[in-house]
Amino acid sequence: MSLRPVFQFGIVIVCGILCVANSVETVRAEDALEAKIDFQKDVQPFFNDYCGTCHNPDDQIAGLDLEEFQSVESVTTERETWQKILHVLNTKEMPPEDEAQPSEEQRKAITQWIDLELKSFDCTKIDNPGRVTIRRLNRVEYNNTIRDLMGVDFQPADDFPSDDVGYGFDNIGDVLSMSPLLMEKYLSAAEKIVETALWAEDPYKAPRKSFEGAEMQQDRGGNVFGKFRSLASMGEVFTEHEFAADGEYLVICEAYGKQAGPDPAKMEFRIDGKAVETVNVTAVSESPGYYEIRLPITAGKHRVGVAFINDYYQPKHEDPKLRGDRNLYICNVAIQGPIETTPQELPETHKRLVFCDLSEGEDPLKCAHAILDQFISRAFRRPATEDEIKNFMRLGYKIIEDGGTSEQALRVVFKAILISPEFLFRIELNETSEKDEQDRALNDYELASRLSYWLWSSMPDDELFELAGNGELSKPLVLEAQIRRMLADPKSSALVENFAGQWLQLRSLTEAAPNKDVFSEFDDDLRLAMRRETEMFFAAAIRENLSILDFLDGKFTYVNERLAKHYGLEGVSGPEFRRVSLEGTQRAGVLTQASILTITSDPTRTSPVKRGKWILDNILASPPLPPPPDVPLLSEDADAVASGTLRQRFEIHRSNPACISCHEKMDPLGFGFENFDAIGRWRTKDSGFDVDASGTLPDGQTFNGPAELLTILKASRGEFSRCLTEKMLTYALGRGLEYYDKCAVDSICEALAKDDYKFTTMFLEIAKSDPFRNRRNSPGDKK
Amino acid sequence: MSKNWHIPRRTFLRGMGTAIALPMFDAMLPAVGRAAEAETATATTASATTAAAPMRTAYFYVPNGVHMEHWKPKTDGTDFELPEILAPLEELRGDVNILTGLAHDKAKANGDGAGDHARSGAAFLTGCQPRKTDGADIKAGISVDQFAAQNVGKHTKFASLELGLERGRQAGNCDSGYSCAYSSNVSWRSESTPMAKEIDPRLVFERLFSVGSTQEVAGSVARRNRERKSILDFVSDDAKSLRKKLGRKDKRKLSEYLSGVREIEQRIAKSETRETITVAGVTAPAGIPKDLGEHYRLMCDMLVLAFQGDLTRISTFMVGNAGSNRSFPFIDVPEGHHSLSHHQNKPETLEKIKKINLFHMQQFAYFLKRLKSIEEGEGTLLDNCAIVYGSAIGDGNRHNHNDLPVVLAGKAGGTIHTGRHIVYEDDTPMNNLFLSLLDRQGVEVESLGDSSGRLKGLEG
Repeated sequence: MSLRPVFQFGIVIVCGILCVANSVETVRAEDALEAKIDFQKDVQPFFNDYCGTCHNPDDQIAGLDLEEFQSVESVTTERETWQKILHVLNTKEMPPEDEAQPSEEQRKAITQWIDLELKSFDCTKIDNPGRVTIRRLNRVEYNNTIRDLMGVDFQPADDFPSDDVGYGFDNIGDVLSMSPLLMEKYLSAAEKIVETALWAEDPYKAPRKSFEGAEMQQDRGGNVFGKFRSLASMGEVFTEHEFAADGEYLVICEAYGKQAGPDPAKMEFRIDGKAVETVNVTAVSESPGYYEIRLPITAGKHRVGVAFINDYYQPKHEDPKLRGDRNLYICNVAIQGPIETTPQELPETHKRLVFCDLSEGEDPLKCAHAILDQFISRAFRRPATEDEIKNFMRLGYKIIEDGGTSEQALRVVFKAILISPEFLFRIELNETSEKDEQDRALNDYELASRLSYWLWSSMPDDELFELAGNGELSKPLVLEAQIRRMLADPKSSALVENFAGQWLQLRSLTEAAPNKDVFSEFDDDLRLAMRRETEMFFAAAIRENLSILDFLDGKFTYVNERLAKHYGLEGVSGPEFRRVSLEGTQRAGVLTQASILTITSDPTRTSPVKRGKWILDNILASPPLPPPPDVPLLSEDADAVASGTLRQRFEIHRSNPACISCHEKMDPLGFGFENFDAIGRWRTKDSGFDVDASGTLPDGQTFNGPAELLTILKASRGEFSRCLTEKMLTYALGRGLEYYDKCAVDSICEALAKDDYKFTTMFLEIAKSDPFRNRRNSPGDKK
Repeated sequence: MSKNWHIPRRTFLRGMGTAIALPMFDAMLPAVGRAAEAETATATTASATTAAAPMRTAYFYVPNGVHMEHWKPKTDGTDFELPEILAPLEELRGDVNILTGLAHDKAKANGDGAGDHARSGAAFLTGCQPRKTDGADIKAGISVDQFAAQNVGKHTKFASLELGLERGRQAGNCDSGYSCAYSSNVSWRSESTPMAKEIDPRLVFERLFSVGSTQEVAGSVARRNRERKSILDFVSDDAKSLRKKLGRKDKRKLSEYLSGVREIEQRIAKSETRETITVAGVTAPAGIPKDLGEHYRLMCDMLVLAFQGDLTRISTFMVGNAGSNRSFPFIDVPEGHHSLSHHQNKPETLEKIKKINLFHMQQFAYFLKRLKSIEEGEGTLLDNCAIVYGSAIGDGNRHNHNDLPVVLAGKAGGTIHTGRHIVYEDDTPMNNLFLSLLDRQGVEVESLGDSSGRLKGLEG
């Protein structure tokens, strides 16, 4: 909603009654316009008086010379500078405290004039597609992308910390940050995902039997030492173990030495008394070490032992450095195996991702290359470069050099791909073109990702990749067909969950807590049903390409038996949802759905102010100013409650002149829905008094009851289509809208109006729009 | 074999639950001077002679201010009567100080208009004025815990732990044009990077003790660490070469990525050198309990374990998000906390706010008692802590940011004289307290946010 940078306020947790003091603060830009501020007569003298000491042609402190600005046109040509001026004036950073200060009135008048000038501009002169900051995949996108990329359907991101919200959505590049906690989660999710999807030999997952040193046997030289066993002179600690099958086994010994003399303690692994391998036990008591060998063993009983073979005892050696007693301590010995060296059954995901023979085929290198080429290209959502493939191959070699198998190497490489920035972030590079243009068109792969994350909250599918690959996707007819296909695809349910869930704030329904004493029938089933209704309504609007105005007054909805009863609709039985007509009822569109009515209520009663504000924020794109501090709140004591309906109490309250300017906009909108209680049931009485759902809007239009109010709202189709377009564009781009986006929004709305407000048209027009198709190369290049 | 060891260092006392690795500060060793700790970079890893208990700090944030009349003791000094909300601290009187008069100037509008809640969250530990933006160019400041983490975090497996009881808001706006990042986080790693918090005790547990997704067995840990090192090495190189091709804001995101990678690398390095013993009887939590009190206490348990095990020395704990409208029907408060906080001095509303404040304080007292129940050196774990509990709003109705409610628990290793109500001059920056705590944690810094000096009188 940044089309109004100064008025981008909005609290959803409304604190009682929203009021605005009737002071200079309430002077809106329109009033400033009436005040007719003149650049030469008002602005320049202001600059001279309060800013000129520093920002003059000689000093140019902070690089700013205000005398450069000779006319109002400079606001357009030097826009960013003017925005900074506005900001420092608003925040009172300037003039500095020890300089002469303008009066509050002067400051307000100038800032409002600047704000207004910044907002009124000519689209033919301002041409900026904006720039989206690289976007980290949010939780939903991560889950969906992993599902489509790997074919494993678990939800690793459910354990991730929540993504912060900006501009009303949780997919905003600037707001999605990367904390060490999240990085850690990405790493362990990548490990879990890859280890589920790809088979590789994993000795440590084989059956394991472990023996504490103290429970083992010994020949000589040993002593029980707590749970360990110590070897103070040469000797063996061993156990008789029944090996279940022929195969390869690991013998892992945790041990440490009491070091003395020139050498570390040496330990010999023995099978059936025969030496197999000798290791230097360099670890010391503070942190014992693990020593392991791997060897083939036949089924049946074998003696597995470890022996101390270089005892040293020189308590009186002439060289003090060589004085001492060397001992070996055996903490425990584990036998692990048989190791699965060939899989019994490969996971389906493995077969699909590893589509050639890595170990024994004609050319394993070529195979690895092909596997990586395909996987990287899909994970990074653009063709892998030869360098990238080689780099990842090099990482794989390291594992093989370290004794790993091809599959183990592949696992490591896949894990690295899944935590690399090109996977976790959606990146559109700063491409430097020879012509040094500041804007560039997105390439087809970038376009494919923008489409898929917008409509599916996931990566592009094969068809999109293919079209991007042969340069077809950006062709208008192809693009249009793709959008229609994508909207029809079940994956577009992501739009319902994520876009509608946030635009209509359905996600807040989870936290809504109607008071059980007042609304005993409210429970989780009803909560779910409410949400389902609105989701199905939104899904139908996409699926059937309805007019977006149906959100305001569509005479149908989706209910199951529970919700139908809640609404007083008859003839609906069973838990499944079905479409029903609302003709002849007072309900229509989303505003009379229980979900919206509940999230805009307080736990114990309706909140006409919240409802009114919700409509201004989410339907009319006209958020009210926030309240001043120290707001007197609606009286809820017993005397007041007994004095009349909620509405009557409100009327008294808002007669306060400080509050009226905003409340005369909000309150009637909310009161029009007073026939619906705090969980969306129809009612004609409130606290025993008759409900009065009539009202007069600031422009003089009057209504009585929700149906009439909805008719009036429908007439505000221009405001509504702008509101929805702004929200949808914000969501599609993953950034807040800027002043220059007004041009794109204007043209989308115009096209929408021409096409009877068909929902699909909005999608098609957004996909064609300048901010969706282009990007500015580097921010702030233009002086 | 010599007689050096009367107790085996690695003692496996496996009980019902998961075995937890604990450091060996002094369970088996005579305590040594605290000074040694500050000077030894690897206090817990180095030889057995330097194991003195380190100082731990935690910062508890409560939203919406409190009912000050029942919070602020009537008299100062040691002989004050505990007001109703602080009553749960009765048993702990000798272990806490009540501080009044502290303020957060940067939570005030200072020309930015409405949004006191978002600002109170963002300023609480930073003392910086958050930039008013819904998204682009988020900016607060580095928080005190992260200052500490960046300096002494290297000693422990986790530089810091960010905990909370409420998920960040999932839709809509949080407060008057401020991005929800300001309301959902109090810990800021850099001025533009909030530290996400963990609210599920199960996930905290799994993270602290590396259990869960992958059952690590001896030997495989080393292999996994090796593998992780090559992967992290690889991606950080990759990210560095990518940086060159990006714009300013993109680079910032990539820096966040790189510092995340670095932190895990350091953790792996640490895990290879640490010396631990193992105790038992700790059961992994199953998830977020329905009961809020239980949730609160379980998260406290996790923090106690983390401190006890020296897995971290620094934590933040958001009892609620800034402006939280949570309702508390189980203590007969079905209304939302934030809505109630605009109480207009109505007795019945204030009564409900008091109930919420008291509920929060009861759980906090539980936390302190847990810390106190653990022996460490000559005293208790609590003695080696400095735990700040407070809000950056005084009274929810007035949205004032001075005379804030603050409890400071623990003796910070004997450097804080406890058992007092200390009244500071009005508008003393809260950050002065933080600066004084950083001193005690061995972090040298001249100023922090809007601090104007050290907080006097903590020593007594």
